[in-house]
Amino acid sequence: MLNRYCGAGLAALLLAMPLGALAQDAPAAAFADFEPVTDEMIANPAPGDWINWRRTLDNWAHSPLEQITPDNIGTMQMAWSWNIEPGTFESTPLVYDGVIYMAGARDVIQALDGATGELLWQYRRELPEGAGGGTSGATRNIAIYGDRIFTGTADAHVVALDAKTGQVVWDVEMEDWETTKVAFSTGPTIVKGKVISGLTDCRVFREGRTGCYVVAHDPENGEELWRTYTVPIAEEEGGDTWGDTPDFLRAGGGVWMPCAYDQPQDIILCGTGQAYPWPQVTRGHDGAALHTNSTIALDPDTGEMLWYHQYVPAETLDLDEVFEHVLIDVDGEKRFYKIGKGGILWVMDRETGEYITHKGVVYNNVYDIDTEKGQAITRPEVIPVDFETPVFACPSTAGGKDWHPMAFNPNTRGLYMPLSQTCMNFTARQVETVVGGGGTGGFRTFAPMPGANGQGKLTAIDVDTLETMWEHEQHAPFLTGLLSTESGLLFAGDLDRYFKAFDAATGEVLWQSRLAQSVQGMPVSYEVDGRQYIAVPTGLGGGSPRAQSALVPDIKIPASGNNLFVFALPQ
Amino acid sequence: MFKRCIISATLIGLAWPGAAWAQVPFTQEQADQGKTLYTAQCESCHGDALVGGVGGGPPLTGSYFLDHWADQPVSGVFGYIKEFMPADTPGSLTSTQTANIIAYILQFGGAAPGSEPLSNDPAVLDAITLERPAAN
Repeated sequence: MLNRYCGAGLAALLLAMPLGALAQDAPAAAFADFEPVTDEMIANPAPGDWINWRRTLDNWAHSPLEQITPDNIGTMQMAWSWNIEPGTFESTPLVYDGVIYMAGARDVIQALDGATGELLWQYRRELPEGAGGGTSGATRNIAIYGDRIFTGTADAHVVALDAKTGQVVWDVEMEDWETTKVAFSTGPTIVKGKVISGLTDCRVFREGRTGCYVVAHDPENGEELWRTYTVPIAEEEGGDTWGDTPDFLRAGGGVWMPCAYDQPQDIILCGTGQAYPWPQVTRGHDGAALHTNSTIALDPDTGEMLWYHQYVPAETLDLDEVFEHVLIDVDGEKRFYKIGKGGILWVMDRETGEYITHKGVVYNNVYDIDTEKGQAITRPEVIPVDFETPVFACPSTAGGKDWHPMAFNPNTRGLYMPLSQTCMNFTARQVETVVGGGGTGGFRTFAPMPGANGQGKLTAIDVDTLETMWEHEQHAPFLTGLLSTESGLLFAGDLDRYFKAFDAATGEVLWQSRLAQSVQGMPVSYEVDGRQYIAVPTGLGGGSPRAQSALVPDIKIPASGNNLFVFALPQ
Repeated sequence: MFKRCIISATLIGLAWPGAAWAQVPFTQEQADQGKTLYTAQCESCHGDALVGGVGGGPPLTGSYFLDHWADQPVSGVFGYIKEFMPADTPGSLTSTQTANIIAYILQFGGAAPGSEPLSNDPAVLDAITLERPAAN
């Protein structure tokens, strides 16, 4: 088990700092009846609420609302829309009791009236120059608990805001961004009343140790309760899987998507990203590099690592396995389903962490699957061995699958996945092996995928049989997580500005609307005063999933504009 | 297992000869403005040393860049950047901004600025060849 590392020297506790919050002095009327959010509510949200990243702890993103149906969706219209400030926008609107809480770009957090689109309050953060710029700066989800909103920032702080006013309650620095360049690109998960955050971008070599970690805070005062490093140093368990690399050169293992909480089992499941530098040849060894590209199971009270499963040992092409865990029981067996960049659907036992089976969901020339260990072994011919010769690898770093999460419909038993179909020419690079050095150690250019009928693919798989129920291929890649509703609708949005509703059983496109910008982020559904709404973000920014524009030169999108569009049936 | 290798970065830009290569006119002001644009729009993918960044973009300096863009009109790299870059917001750069970024890339690679600016007109750039450094 990993030793817990007490970061007392690193965290600065700032209480109630007014960091330029443009908040009202008194809570708006919308918050008059505000009831603190509890663990029970998060486990069992009201039908009209969406108070967790994927709505429920099992990460199904399935709304029980049935007002909008396949028969009447043709009449659905825009209720209101709102423009977001520029920057990378990959967010999830949380909705609690009729109020939307959402991160914009660059750590702006806003509360909007879910029925009228009125701005209730906003929080703005003064970031160090360079933080949250370029393709970074996303905040893919935030958390709500008690009467607070919790987020992680582009300059590696965890922040608590008053949910009624947006005022800062506490603000904790995890690392100094100027020297480390680490960040949060995803907000916390609430687990048993604790704020659980995953650090990312651990690529600049630091004194001591460089790898990322999962960290728990007390929601009341921001006190750090525990942290668990994902990359072991030499004397820790798993530390012998990094060759003879000195501690400070062991980088990566970012937890850049939200962790899951399996409440009945009382364990936290976190996905870990790739090692930095990406290629084996740049790292200087071909060791497994634990615990990168793994699921790690943590004790919520102590952060102790109960078990782990590494999907891709010694991964070398930036094909990380960090994405969401979808918890589904099949034949009485407690499972989770997970897909990484490589496009392998892993079917796992969530009680033991053991491999059950897998299914490849896109063309893949990179892996041979070891079904005894439940691992993907990279084929020798696609492992870069020098700093000049590119390898041709499918899928590319856009996936397969990227951060856009799946959805599950318990009625159709369909697991729905947004997939991407491109390949890449990947070349390894050197990095400076000094404090302050480091980096990706690689670059890639994109290429079409053989046999693909378009970059975008939506696949529906029956979880009981693993058979493909239907597949929808299209020219434009999908850039949203999926949203499932009880009435049998499945929502997804793409690069070409289309937001579409599919029939969950057949894959037929029932409705679509062309919006102002490429559709990107996590659409959700909520209810206010008996009216069901579908909220979908559109926007720009992000790394790999957007980097193949040269492959779709006919798709033209506007140079600016992030927005939230909200739809409903006519009243 | 690989032998542990000592790996260090080579700053390829500093290895190039000076004014003679490229034969492409640009001004210091263009390169300065280009650097500002580059830092905001390009660095996250292409890195602060133009050899690749977090976003895994290809090098914009050294042999890789020359293999792709040298010995052909400057309008080639100009058109590519203007239409496809930045990758997450393609088409958002103006012609002037594109010319400035190219000026920065050239200066980073060792070319020296002069008094004549780099044109932002593809038709003019069609007649200017981006030359490789002369072998010594």
